[in-house]
Amino acid sequence: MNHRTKNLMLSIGLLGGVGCLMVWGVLTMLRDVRETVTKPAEQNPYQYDMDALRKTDEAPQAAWREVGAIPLPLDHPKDLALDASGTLYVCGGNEILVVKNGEEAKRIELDEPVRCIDVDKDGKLYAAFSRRVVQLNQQGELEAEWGDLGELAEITAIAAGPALVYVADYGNRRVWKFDKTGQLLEAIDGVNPNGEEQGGFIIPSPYFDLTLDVNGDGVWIVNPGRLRVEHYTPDGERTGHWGKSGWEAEEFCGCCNPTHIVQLPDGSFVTSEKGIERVKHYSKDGAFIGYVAPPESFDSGVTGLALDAGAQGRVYILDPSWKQARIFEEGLAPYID
Amino acid sequence: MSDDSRQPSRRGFLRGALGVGATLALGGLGAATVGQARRREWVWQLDPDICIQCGQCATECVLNPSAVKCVQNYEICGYCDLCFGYFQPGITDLNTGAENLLCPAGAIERVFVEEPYYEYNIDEELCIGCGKCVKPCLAFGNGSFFLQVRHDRCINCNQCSIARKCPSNAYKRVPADKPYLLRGYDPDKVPLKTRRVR
Amino acid sequence: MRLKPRIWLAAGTMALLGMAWAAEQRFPKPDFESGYNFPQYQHAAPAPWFYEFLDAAVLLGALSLGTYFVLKKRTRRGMLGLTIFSLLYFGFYKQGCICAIGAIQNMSLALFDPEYAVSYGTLIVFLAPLFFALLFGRIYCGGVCPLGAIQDLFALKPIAVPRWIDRALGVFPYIYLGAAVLFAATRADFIICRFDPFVPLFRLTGHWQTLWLGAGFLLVGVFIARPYCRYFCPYGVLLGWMSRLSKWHMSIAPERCTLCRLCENSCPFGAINTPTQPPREPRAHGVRRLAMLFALIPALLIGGGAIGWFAGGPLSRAHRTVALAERVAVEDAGWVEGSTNASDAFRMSGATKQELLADARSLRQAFRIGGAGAGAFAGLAFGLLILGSSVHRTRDEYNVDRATCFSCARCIPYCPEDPSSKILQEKQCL
Repeated sequence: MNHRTKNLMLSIGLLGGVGCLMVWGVLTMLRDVRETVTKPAEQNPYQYDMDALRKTDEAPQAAWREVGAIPLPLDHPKDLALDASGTLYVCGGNEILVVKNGEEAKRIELDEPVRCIDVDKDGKLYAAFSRRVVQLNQQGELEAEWGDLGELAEITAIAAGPALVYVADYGNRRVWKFDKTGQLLEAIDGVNPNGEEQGGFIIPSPYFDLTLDVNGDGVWIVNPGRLRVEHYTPDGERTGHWGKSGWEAEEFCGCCNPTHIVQLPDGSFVTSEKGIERVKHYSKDGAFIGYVAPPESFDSGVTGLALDAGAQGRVYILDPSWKQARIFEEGLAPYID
Repeated sequence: MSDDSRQPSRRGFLRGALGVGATLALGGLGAATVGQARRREWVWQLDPDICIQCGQCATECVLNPSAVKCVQNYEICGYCDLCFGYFQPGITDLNTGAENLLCPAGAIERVFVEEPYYEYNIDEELCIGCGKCVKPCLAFGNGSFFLQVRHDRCINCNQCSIARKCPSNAYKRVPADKPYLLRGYDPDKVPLKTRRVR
Repeated sequence: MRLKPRIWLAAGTMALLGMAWAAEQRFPKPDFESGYNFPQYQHAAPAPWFYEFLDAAVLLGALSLGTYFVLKKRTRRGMLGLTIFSLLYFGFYKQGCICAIGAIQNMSLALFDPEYAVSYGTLIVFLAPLFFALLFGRIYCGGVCPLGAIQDLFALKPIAVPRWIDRALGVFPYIYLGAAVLFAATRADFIICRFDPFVPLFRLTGHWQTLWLGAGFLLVGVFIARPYCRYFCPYGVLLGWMSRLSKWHMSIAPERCTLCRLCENSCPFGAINTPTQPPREPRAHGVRRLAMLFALIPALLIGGGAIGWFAGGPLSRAHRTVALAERVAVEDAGWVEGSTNASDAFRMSGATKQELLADARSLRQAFRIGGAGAGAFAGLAFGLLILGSSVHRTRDEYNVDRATCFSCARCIPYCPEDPSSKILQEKQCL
């Protein structure tokens, strides 16, 4: 009898222990489950704080404000261009969307994905596939197809001037110079045989943009790997550059920025960046003026903020995340037409 | 027991019937699942395009250090001079002193190729799979750094303990003959190396 | 030394591989002038496919060997050797995955989720022990299961657990089985694997809670032999059913029991039935009790189902989608500060809250229905347990209880009728 009682006591004791363990396990699990609903945000000891980078600056008071936006019903909008009359052209997928007075006027369907577009003063449209450029008239009809730029070519930008068309090709790391008939004249490779640096264009990620000099003196080309903007004469000679790498608002941050650039009629520049997604305004000497759009204006992680300048000093920013052409304007006072 | 076999009884008959029933049930269960059964086992993998680099791959794996490692896809690496996955944010010069390095385990190696290009290699023996380098590489660069479950380390738990905690649900079971989800690779063309394993 | 995970190949080959990738993101690598060769990762493949079948073959071999030891040779020593082998191979070498117990969940998932299919290896691991149990008893428990093996070796000072406690606790595996199937079928979690106390010990790594749980089980197991097998193991439920119907189960005496009572205390798991006489009570008494019990079973069934239904709602939070939906709802209502990684990831993904809430609702409903099923199952098991323990059968010999016997062969040497019997050998020596 004694033996049995001992066994009973022991069993109850041990199994009670197991039971307690079990209850503890279940309670832990339930707490776990409850906490997924109510707990505060987890601390990640390995956090890379992008937000701290985005807010490094006591930026100069924004003189720019957003004055409007045009919705762009396109797959993967990539580039935009404005002609002299204010008509907006946006490419995305195989299409070019034509917007007049904020309304969709036309869609031009092409055979291949369109990488970038530009319009010259006469309203001629230049669109680039990955390896070649096509010329369209204002009705969207194909007028000319230019030569293939080769296996490696990846065209990212076109700038169509009065006499010359510059085509930025990140695959070949060159800017090709064409005349208006599509004749390939020469290539700018960025290598400066007389200069102190001979590196050429360094393009670690697929963004490579350029903009025509507003005074008709050659072209400004972004050298993203060097985080600066370089000026080239029509002969392909580098005559100057501005911009530097750094963590401050006035500097370009990242391995390869800016991604896009446009020179405004007054000679100042507007640049867009990835990583810290922001659009900034620089003077014609490359001095930082202020934000056009600070990082808070964009979804985090957005890349490909293509730019173009409109009438009255407006800047159009392509926001691929919102699928909008967002319009920014300088000066707090309203314009008087 | 031997009684049952000598003189068939009601209970014996019932048992026999139940036995046949159980056999059929097991066979049926097998048949129901064998129809769609696979020759290959499943393995766990995370989709780098869904991953948000929460750091739990480093802390939640039953292995220590984790079977999740950062991999470098040289195909899409920009060979940047200033690699944001390598250097701490806010540095003033590209000095490779330990205080300037981002990786908490010192697992990234920087090798000079030619001006201004550098090769970056991951030492998987040191990498803890925290993903700290992944986020800036994706934001500023091309995203050539990303996390993957390394199948020479993963012990392939029936229920992956990281998968359970993954906040963005990036973990999934993938067929063992296509065990990697590499950014920048066609999944059919991932170069696999077989190895001796458990 | 581990091979370096990458090899160096000619740049030309690599350029070709690069082209194969989607043209949209095609990225030209820097054109180095210094004759640099692009390195390339080689990604380690998982275990080749035949390993799975190798493991299945080892399992079948171990089961056959165990059957031979128990039924043909009637040797405890052989079983002990097999136990040690299984612990080393399935436990410490294979590190516990995949095991038949965990395979319950894979099978449930395969039955309920059309996207998931079990592999042949898993199917064999799940079905083979059951078929063996149907033919020969729970050989798998006795010498093959690594979880059983580690506990078996720790059963050093077993005490006899009073039978009513033993039987009452035996209901828990039914609840565990129901819950495991419910959680697996809804893709919420694999709770058997998550709360497995011994696999972390095999791996010698894991979260400290589970390591402690394993150590606790082993410690208790010194006195209460195989506590996990008897009071937790959900696969044991299935094996018990099969074993109850087994065609050739081991018996203590090779021929006839002589009622010598020598084996009475030989089983550390309380799986030996002793001879009983029907109680001396009026027949009407027994009939009335039986009728009451039969009435009780539907009540237990419905009661269990109801508990399961109401538990299903809160339990559904174990599913990530439900937890996320609640979190998002709570954040939107402003009841909590800030957001979690999961809710951030959800908001970034672009999915709508309506879809999430709809998913969560249907999951909660699935949990309620599944919970009711699991509850009813457990209620039925409890009812049948009470019924079984109040029906008195006449037994005229000592023999094993087929449902709970692990076929470990511990009792065999205690039978003086057995040729291997210690007692017989001592007699011969004299």
